[in-house]
This record gives sequence, C-alpha cells and structure tokens, in this order.
Amino acid sequence: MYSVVNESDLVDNPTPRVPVCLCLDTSGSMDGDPINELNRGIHQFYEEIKADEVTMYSAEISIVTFGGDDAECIKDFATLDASESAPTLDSRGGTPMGEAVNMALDMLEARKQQYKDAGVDYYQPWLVLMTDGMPNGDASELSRSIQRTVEMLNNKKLTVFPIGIGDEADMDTLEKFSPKRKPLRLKGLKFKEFFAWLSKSVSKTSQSMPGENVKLDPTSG
Amino acid sequence: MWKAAFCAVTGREHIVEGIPCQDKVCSALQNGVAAIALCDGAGSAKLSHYGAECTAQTVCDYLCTHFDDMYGNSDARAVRLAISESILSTLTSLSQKLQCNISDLVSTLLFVAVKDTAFIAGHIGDGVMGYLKGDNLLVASKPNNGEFANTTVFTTSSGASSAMRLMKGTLNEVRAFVIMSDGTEASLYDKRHKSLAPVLKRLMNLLAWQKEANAQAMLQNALSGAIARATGDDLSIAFLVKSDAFPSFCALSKAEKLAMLGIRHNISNHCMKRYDNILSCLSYRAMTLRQMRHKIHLKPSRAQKYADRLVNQGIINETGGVYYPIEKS
Repeated sequence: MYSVVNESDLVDNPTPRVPVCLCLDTSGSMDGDPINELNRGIHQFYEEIKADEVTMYSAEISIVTFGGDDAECIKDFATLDASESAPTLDSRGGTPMGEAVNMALDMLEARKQQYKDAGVDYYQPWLVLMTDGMPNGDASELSRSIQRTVEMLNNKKLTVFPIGIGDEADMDTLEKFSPKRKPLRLKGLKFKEFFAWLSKSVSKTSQSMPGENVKLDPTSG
Repeated sequence: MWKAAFCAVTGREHIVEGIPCQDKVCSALQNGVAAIALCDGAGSAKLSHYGAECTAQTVCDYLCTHFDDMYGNSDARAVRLAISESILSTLTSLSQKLQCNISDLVSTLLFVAVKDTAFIAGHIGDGVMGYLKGDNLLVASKPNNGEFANTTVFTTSSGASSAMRLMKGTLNEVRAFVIMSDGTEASLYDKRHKSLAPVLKRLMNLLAWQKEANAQAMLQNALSGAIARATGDDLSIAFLVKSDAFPSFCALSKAEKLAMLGIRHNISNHCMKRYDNILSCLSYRAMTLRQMRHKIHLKPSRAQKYADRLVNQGIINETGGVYYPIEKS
C-alpha cells in the first residue's frame, strides 16, 4: 500500500510540557526519618516518571528546598534523563518558605518564557509545597510569595498542592497559599504513596486533550 | 473551478477507549459558493461528535446561503454574531432532541468559502488554516489554545463570538485553502516557526488532479499512515483547491516535479523525461506496463520502477496491472 505522506514529510514538534516544581522543607526538624522518607519518595517519583514513556518526555521537574538560611535550587526545570538519579537532600537550619516559593515562581516564569520563545506548548504548572513546621524566614518574602501564588491561582495560571508533614506542620500558612484547595496532612511519613499519586497525576495531565477535564485520583489515604 | 476534499480519521486513543471520532468535516457547493467547515468536538463533552457534525453542516449551509450578505457587510461584529447565533440555534434544537445540555455538544470551528473572486474564512479555537498564494504556502489563522496545551475556545464558550477570527478578501493568486484539526496540526504545522509542512502543497496539487472518489481515498491514505502514528488524537483535514490553477505534471518545473515525485535529490533530465513520457502515453489511453515500456523503450525493471513511483505518489492509478491517468474533473 502506497503512502502519500511519509514520516519525513511531518513536522517534529516538541512534546507539550507539564512543569512541576517540588518546593520542599529541608529544615533541621526534618532530620532523621522524615528526610530519609522524603528522599525515598523523590527517588520513587523519578523512577515512575522515567518508566512512563510519554510522561518522561513531558514532565519537567524542578526542586527548590528551604532549610538553613535561604532557599536553594537543587534542580531547574528539565525533563528527566533515563540515567538521571534523584538528588539526596540533607536537613539543616531554619524554614525560609517564602524565599523558596518566590524562587520557584521566578523559575517558573522564566521557564514559561523559554517555552513561548521556542514554540513549546505547556500545561498548567504545578507547585507542590511540603513542610513540617512554621516558616521562619523573612516575613515580607512570605507575604509576597502568598500574594503571588494566590494571584496565579485566581487567574488559573497555577495548581498548588500544599502538604503538611507531621503534627507540627503549620496548616494555617499552607492554607494561605491555597485558599480553594485545602492543604492535606501527609499520613505518617507516607512520602512514597504521595509521590506515586503525584507521578500518576502528572501522567494523566500530560495526555489530556483540549476541553478535557483532567480527573485526578483521590488523595484520601 | 473550485473543488473540495476532506477526511476525518478516528484517533488511536479513541479507538482503544471506544469513543467515536469527534472530528467532523463537511463541504457544500451551492449558489456558486464552494465551502468547507471542520469542527473538533470537545474531549470532555460526551456528545460532542454530534455537535461537531451539526455545527460543520450548519456553517457550510449558512455560508452558501448568506455569502453575499456576509461579504458585503462591513460590520464584522454583526457577521460573527450572526454565525454564532445560527450555530447556537441549531445546537439548541439538537440538545432538545438528544435531551442533553448544549455544553455536551461544543466544538472548535474552522471554515472557508469562496465565490467568484472572493473568499470568507473564520476560526474559533485550535487547529490551523492555511492557503496557497502563487507558490507560497502561508498560514491564514494560527491555533488559539489560550496559554495551556489542554485549553481552547469552543463555539459556545463565553466570548466565542468575539474570539472568532473572521477574514474576507479577494482571491488574487490564491489557489487553495486548507483547514485542519489540532490532531493533524501536530504533524503538519511547525509551532516554533509558525509555518505549514511543505507536503501540503503537494497534496493540494495532487487533489487538483483527482476525481472526488480518488481524492477522498488519497486523503484517507495520507491521514491513516504516518500522521496517525504520530498522535493518538482524532485527525481531520479539508481542502478547497482551484483545480484549473494547477498545471499538469508535464507543465511543472523540474523542481516541482521532483517534489511531486517525492524525490529529494536531483535526477538527470533524461530520467525525468521518462516520467513525462509515461504520462504522455497514458494521456491517450490506459496501458499495461508491457505496452508502456514498448512505447517508450524501457527495460521491464526500469519501467516498473518509474511506474511504481508515479502510482505511489498518487500521480497515476493502477488496477489489475493496467495503468490509468488521473483525470481532472
């Protein structure tokens, strides 16, 4: 059977991207089991993303941590290489949450501009914010980060998943970042279960079509 | 003379999930107007395939009936509103008949109509519209996805009427139009450079030479092969071509002939002449390969090679070992 149009006739457009920022508390209180389980969860997240051929080319992961005196970009937005390993995070110091969220939002805006310049389509970005305590960084940075996040939420420019770890997590502050979606408290140290849900959700989003409502699996449990 | 050709193919993902093709395309030739319309039903709308079909037909009929009024009206807003109201009216009737909400029937929309030396075209949502002016393949309307890949505007979205891109003008050197859904756009529209794949020009040329049945088969072939393998989404495309504006194969330049033959390197004039000779033979009557090679003095393997390429590129037909010319209708 002849073919009027061949592979070589087609345009090779880049895969639409799902930018996902993990904004993670690595303060001193995360020392011990919490940081170990968080590292295992991130490792599993990486492996599940890499195992799905469509998601691997679509999901762009960035990691910003807040511990010590300042926020730190561990990984800027990029798809995962097949050989790429998850970073191992250490815990230390304070909880500069506002600084970290502002850094994450700045990185996101820069990445979106790169997408636009390169003609790359993208889905609504995700911000996963996880903390086990109260923010104790600069108050004005915290206030600014909350304002920016809520503005983006109201304009439907961002999806936020605020997650409290343990009993000491400041759920009130987390709720300020996400007035419409109540923050969730992680059950115990079930990081692996959470990141398994996150990778499935990213996969569903990366395969959605225009006009399709993406129904994520429930987060209970 | 303008002729229309169109095709829609169910995407692999829809086949697996048992969802009908939500891309619908139609054409109309009435009152001196040639029109095409293409609608892509919303993924989340359970009956959007019905809505897409209804909308495409409504718009084609509207264009054929109201072309002169639309073209002569300098108030673009009023024209957009009239089209939108026509669509809404039909969808309302359909929603009552199917006992569903209008939101279950929504779709995107692209349309083009030509009459004499004038054209009208419109676009709501994603998908792409292009045209061939002289030898230049150009984009008339880019996809309107909004900021995110899985969002777009639909025919009944709030502000759809004002979001509709509406164009009109004189044809001048325009020889063909093409409209396609986002599934097809993924393979035939370069998002970075905002340009259309050159293969569309070849398809336009081939369609200008084909009879309607052959044109449909050719488009089915085009969408069902490499393009369908590149995406799981539904695929659809429609063309309006001015058949008498496209020269016969023998009248094309060498570069154009190479493009039509799908040959990416230069060949000798002597080799090119063989293709011309085969087509000349067939312009008189259908022939077998043996008859052809005797006429133009070719070895069997050589004659087979040239004939195969002409058949593969849709320039001639072959049935039961007999080769036929493609006739202009």
